[in-house]
Amino acid sequence: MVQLEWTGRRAIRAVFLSLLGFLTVVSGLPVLGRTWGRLETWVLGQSGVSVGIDWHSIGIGSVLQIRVPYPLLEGPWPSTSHWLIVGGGTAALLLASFLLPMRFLPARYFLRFVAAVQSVALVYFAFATPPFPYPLPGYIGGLMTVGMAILALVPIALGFGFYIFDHSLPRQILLTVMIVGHLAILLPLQGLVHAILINRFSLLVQPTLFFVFGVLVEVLVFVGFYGWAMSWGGSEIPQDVGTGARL
Amino acid sequence: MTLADGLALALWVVVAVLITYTIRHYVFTLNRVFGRFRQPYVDIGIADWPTVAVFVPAHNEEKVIGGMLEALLAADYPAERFHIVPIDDRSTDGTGGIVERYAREHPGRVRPYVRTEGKPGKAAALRDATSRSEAEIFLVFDADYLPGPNLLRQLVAPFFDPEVGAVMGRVIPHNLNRSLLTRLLDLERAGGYQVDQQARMNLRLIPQYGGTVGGVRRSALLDVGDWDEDSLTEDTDMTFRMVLRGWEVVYQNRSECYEEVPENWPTRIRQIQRWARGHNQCLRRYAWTLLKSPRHLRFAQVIDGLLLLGVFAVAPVLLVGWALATALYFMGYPIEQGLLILFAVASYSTLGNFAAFFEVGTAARLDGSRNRIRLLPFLSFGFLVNLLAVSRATLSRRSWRAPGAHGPDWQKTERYRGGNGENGR
Repeated sequence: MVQLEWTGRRAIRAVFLSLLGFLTVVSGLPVLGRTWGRLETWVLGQSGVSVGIDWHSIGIGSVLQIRVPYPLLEGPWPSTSHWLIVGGGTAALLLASFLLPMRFLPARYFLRFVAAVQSVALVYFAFATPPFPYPLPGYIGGLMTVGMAILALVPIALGFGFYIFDHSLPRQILLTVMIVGHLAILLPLQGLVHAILINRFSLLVQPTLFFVFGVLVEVLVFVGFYGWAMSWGGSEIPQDVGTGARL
Repeated sequence: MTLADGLALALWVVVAVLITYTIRHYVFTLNRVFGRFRQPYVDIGIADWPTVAVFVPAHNEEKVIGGMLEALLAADYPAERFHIVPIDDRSTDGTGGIVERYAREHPGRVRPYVRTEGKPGKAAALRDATSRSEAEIFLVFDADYLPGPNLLRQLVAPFFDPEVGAVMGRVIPHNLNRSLLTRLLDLERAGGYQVDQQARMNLRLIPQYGGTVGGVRRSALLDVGDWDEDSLTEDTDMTFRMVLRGWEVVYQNRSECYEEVPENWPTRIRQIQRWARGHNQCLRRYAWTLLKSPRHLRFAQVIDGLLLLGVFAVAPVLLVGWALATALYFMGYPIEQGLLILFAVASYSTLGNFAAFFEVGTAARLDGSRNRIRLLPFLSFGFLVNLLAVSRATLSRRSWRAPGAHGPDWQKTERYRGGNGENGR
């Protein structure tokens, strides 16, 4: 029967790597925040959006002060034209979900899910009056802050799910670096895309971006890398995968 | 308390339910990886083997029944100690002819039982057929399954323990290269059997008897009152009746049998909705009895039993969580308090529930699968379809009302193998 032995060495290694990774990421967050600021400024400049950035400060006790950047874009209250454009897009999405062949059923369901969330937003903004409880700068600042928390939690999650297996130390470190590195680049770009979309299409699209294209994207990136790494070889993997190997 | 506070409280309850199942995933997976294995009598060779009747309920199974009978006839079990009973329940295709041919070619070993009246359905068919058999052990296979030659011995071996009432083997898809869906189902099955079932076995909880690759002891069956004709999932029903009467249910991870999994989404949806309705029927029947905690059950078994019974009811709970989170969001629930709860539902508790991926990834790794594990993120799509299909089935009236006098009808999954009774040749 294929299984692993739970030894003190394995436990210590998993805990040590998790803590080391956690502390490394957390101590790097101030630098990461500044780097995100420079990246956002550069991307905004390249894309012709002439706005600056501001900073949202968070502190972890008195030990660490982190500044999280966000673009100085406004999320306008939806106008009639915004409502019609987004409403038309939602209808098109819904129609597309019915036109897709049955073999794409998960995609059909996903499109309908997106359309459902967006429809709720359309109904809400048809009747609501300003102000919206979550203005754009605060929303982006929140997204970035949660993103930083996810970055710090990556090594902890891997401690449970990956460091316990018989991978070599370089591979364990490699996976951690790949996930953290990927998310560190993805997060500010994702925040910028959200900000620009909300700026162009109004607060009408913010709920959909929050619920469907928010933290779920990071989680799926994590699972994608994790699935790849779990396919790497290791001493506990049976070499013969024929009958009887699934022991 | 404001309306928003009430909704937030309800959402925290939903999150608590989801966290409970997450902890369960972690406990099972870590136990499967590091825990002590239980696989009683699995390698026994020379023994006084009990008499066995192998039942194969079939309703319009001409595409697969031949292959099944061929596989059973090749089984490594003392020939004078076992016979095969294909149950032809009102088939209107070529099933009857194929079964008759095998009976002629293998007199005494293949003993068909033809049903033309009585309640339809697998449980009713089994009840009729097993009541006519004097064998000590009844093995039951679905008609589309392909047992390996050693499977019969492996499934019968645990019955040397007189406390064992039912045994379940492992199901592995053999058509996994047909589509993305079959590959995803292979991953799901791996998680369910390699990790979930084996961990339950290791921890002496409640492994589930499955009516597709398993067996029951005749005396135990009679003790619990025979198959329930009104049960939508006779296997889950049998599991809980056995456990509540003090019989042990055993899972044998090494006893592999090969099945066809659905190759298209509509078939998959019908299958999982059928399971959901049957499971919920058992939830309605046995949850209260379990809660009253019969003295022979340990607290951990009661908890595991309740979580097992509730597994399909979680889907609509999750949908309710999404609805509550959406409502709170638009109500402007204070961001300082709301952010955590909203993110909990929007990410951790839904597609991002990493514990499920951990379980499936670990199972596939222990199976020796390599490239298949890379499909892990695509499971999210499967989860989304399952979530909606199961919620729909759970919220339907059929999930909660008792079947009528007619009883449950045959609920079959589409078959894909070539037909004409030559599939076993």
